[in-house]
Amino acid sequence: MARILLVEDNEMNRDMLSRRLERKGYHVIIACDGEAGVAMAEEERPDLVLMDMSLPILDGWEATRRLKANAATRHIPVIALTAHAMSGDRDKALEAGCNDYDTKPIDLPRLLGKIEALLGPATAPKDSSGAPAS
Amino acid sequence: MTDEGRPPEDIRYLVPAALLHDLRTPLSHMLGYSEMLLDQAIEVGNADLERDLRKIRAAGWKLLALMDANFQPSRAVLVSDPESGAPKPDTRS
Repeated sequence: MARILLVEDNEMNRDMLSRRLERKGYHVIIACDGEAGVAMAEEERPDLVLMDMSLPILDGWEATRRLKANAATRHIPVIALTAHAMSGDRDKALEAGCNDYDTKPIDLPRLLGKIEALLGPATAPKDSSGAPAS
Repeated sequence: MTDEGRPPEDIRYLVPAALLHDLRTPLSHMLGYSEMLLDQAIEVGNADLERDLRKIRAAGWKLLALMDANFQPSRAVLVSDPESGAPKPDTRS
């Protein structure tokens, strides 16, 4: 089962997105700020990180830079998530080292497609019906 | 607002990015939870609940589309010119 680290400070976003991903068959671990996210990525070595950008203590851009600067974590794909929908946000996230970018509100099928593209189809979980999660 | 629900031309593009961010966050919650409940309603075959949840979800996405169509994030803040009463951008950072 693929493990996803969700780094998100907003409690409702954490609850909602983690439950939706778990329903699709992913194992979700959670960090509530950028610093904790970096520490948890180093410790847990998840298969993928969903990184909110507007985080306390250490924002998502800097947290991603640290993950990509660390040989132990730089291979972990990072998808930036932000409620900002400005065109420059995507470039800013990619420049920080994010592998992909998506906006809130989450379009779950679109996000699942990006997750699967980064993890590879072989790691995509099946949902309760046995169909691919996306 | 015009009859079509669109803001007059002169306040477009002047909504602060922070306000748009703040508006999108609770909208994300409403859409996310309604879609999660919709999945559950479909799974248990509750057609009445499914129908109502689809309405909630459709309304949420429509609101998001209206926001995106009418407001361009900007750091500018709309204030009124005290002399003419005409709106003008405030250049405060």
